[in-house]
Amino acid sequence: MGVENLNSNPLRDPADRRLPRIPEPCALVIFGVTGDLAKKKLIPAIYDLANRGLLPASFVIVGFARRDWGDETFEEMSLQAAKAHARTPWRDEVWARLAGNFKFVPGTFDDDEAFDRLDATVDELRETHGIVGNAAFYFSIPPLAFPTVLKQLQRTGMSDNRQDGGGWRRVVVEKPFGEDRESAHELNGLVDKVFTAPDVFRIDHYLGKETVQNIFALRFANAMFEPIWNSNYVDHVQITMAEDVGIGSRAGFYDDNGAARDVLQNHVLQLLAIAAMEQPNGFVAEEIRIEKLKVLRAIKLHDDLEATAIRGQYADGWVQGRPVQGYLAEDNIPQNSTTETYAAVQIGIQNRRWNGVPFYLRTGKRLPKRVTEIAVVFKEAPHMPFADYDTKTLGNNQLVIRVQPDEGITVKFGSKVPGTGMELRDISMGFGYGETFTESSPEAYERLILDVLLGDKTLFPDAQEVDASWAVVDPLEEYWATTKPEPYESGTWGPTGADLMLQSSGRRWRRA
Amino acid sequence: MHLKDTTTGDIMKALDGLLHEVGGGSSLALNLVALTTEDEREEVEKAASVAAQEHPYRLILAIPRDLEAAEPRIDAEVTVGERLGSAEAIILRLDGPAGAHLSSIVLPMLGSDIPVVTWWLLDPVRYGLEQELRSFADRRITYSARAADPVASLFRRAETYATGDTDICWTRISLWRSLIASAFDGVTQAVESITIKADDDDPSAQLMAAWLHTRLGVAPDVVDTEVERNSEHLPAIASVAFTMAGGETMEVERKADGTTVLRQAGLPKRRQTLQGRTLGQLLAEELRHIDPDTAYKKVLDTFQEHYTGERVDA
Repeated sequence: MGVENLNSNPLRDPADRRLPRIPEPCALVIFGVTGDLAKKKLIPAIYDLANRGLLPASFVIVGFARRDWGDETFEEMSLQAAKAHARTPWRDEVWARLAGNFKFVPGTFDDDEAFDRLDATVDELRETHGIVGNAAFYFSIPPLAFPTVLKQLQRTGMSDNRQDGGGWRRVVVEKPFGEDRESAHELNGLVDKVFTAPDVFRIDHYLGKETVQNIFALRFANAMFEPIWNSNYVDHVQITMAEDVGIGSRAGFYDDNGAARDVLQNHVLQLLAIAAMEQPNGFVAEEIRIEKLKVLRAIKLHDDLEATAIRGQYADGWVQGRPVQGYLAEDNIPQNSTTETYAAVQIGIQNRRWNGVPFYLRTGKRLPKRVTEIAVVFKEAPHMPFADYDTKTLGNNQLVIRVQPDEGITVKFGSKVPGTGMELRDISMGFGYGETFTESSPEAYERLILDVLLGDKTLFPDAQEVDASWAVVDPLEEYWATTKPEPYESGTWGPTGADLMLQSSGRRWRRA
Repeated sequence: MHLKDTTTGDIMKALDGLLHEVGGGSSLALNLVALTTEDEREEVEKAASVAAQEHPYRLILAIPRDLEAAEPRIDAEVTVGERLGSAEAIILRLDGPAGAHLSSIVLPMLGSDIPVVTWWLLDPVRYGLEQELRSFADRRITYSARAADPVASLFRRAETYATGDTDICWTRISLWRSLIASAFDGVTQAVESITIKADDDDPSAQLMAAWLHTRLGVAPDVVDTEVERNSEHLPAIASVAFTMAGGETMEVERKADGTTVLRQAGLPKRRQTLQGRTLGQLLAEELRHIDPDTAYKKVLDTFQEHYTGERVDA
């Protein structure tokens, strides 16, 4: 493993925090390199890493796709992609260092010969670039193609890190990890068998965001939050992941899956796990994984799913001042589709810390704005010595972790309105993580690609977490299979059923 | 906002007023107190505005002006979010005895209970301000390459080291060190000898030698070489070469245009680019670490132990 090797390097001193951790010489092999993810995120992230001096001297990017390209065409495409989407300022000399290190292997996933060529290309790097077998394989491809590619990697021996030359072999897979518990189990089994479980990196890009990592700091490095982070003080928790866009060009994939499989199963449940987990024994992958898994396995759905598992589908409406069409009018969506574009669910966590505290999760498309946040809503003060009419406009205290776009933390509490009376009103106090730090805050993909190359799994969910998450979503899907989603006007905060879900207990959604 | 012949109380009132106008309540990460001259002011301001993008701070820039004047006088300029970027900035011009009582002026201006970093480009000894600046700082940043005798100045820093000291000459070899360290990933053999081709007047070259000495247990040979630099804030190092116990060699060489070549026995030549950073970028790196830099202390100790040059008294 990379981390151990770094420790044996006499020039690396853990106390010397100026020396960035740089991966060993390695290759990054991207399948589906002509896709949007590669162009908009992966290649720009590689440029940004190079710009920050975080890539090893020998680093080669190998593209694999069904295009009749040579290395030069691939390099040119990468140059355009990096220029258009890189976060850090463009510098020709940074590119000059990457230039010449692009290789392209054309082929389809069922083409044995193409994979033999790929194998040979990776092997040659030993001679030409001094890369002793280290390679990460990034699956930026439709999930349907996973098994075929995995089998090819197994057949050619590319997935084996104990081959004669040594070096590590890792695989990076993007969501969705299956479409239910059973298919995820199959997929996980296959990928863990072809590679070994520690070499499999499942990307959930939300975990690469600075604010999400900051939740660990907020909760476990401070004295003032953790004591009230439980059912004695917390009334309920709302996790919102809203998008203002529609399904875009993902019609085929989306209609087969829907909001719950696309977003709730991974991003939202991971946010929940981090917000609700117990303190890990150490900030290392294994300890964090154990605590996250405990929370995910303690999740219980409400018995009355009709009232607590709400689905919606966007209809015509206006978003951000423009008219947009409903889901059923989108290209390639069947007229009778019952796929949801909005899901709101109430769950409970069965442990002592969270007993009786409802967690309300919601995600949807074509909502008024793009926002992701975790709102911890506290109970009312046990007794207030003020008259009712003075505290009329006072709500519950809130602590809101704003994940995106305006990263930061907001605390909402009551305060006296200046004047002679004792009138109280809510005010909010904000900490803007992004306000002044944005420019240097790395993109999630930068962080995650670097971690893959370093072999650090702290921010990657493992197969058991995926399984535990499907165990939450499967019963929902089963119940929903017999229902139709409630339409909601595009540009509004979702179907009325979701509002009723909270109103029945005297609560309301926070306007995110 | 310009304030003539003013007091710290009026300066703070002016700052509060400006903060109130822009909506107030910025979240500060630290106080940066910089000592400079009118000639260097623009350079320091530019660096400060770059670093402020990463570290929201209150900048207090002290410029000793007419030290011979009989009466103390403070002129101040207070800005928020103007040419100094996102920093809250107070620029002080100090006449006469005011210059010698810097702490009484600066202390009331510091943001409450957040770290204080002092930074000076000029030689504080000349203004008799070194102790003043040391007294309230959690971290002190110097730039010994700017002194009249750079290496002797670094030696003085080593002799008077206090927890929290650091020097831009150390900051500016981070990229070099990182390159060398990554070349050593996977190397299993012990190092027999090290040759550094560098301008031996450059404190950064001395620190590079001391670092390698500390970590590898081998005293490098520093061969005095004239080094062409295409940026002021680059270390004057041309190459670092290692000979391993088995006789194999490894060399990192930087050409004047920034092309850096890594030659390692048995492996193809590898090229990288290593450019100088701006003073602002170096300052930003420095401000990222507010806790004492123990790795630097060890290196500075090695440097001090093997220093053979002239000793300059304060």
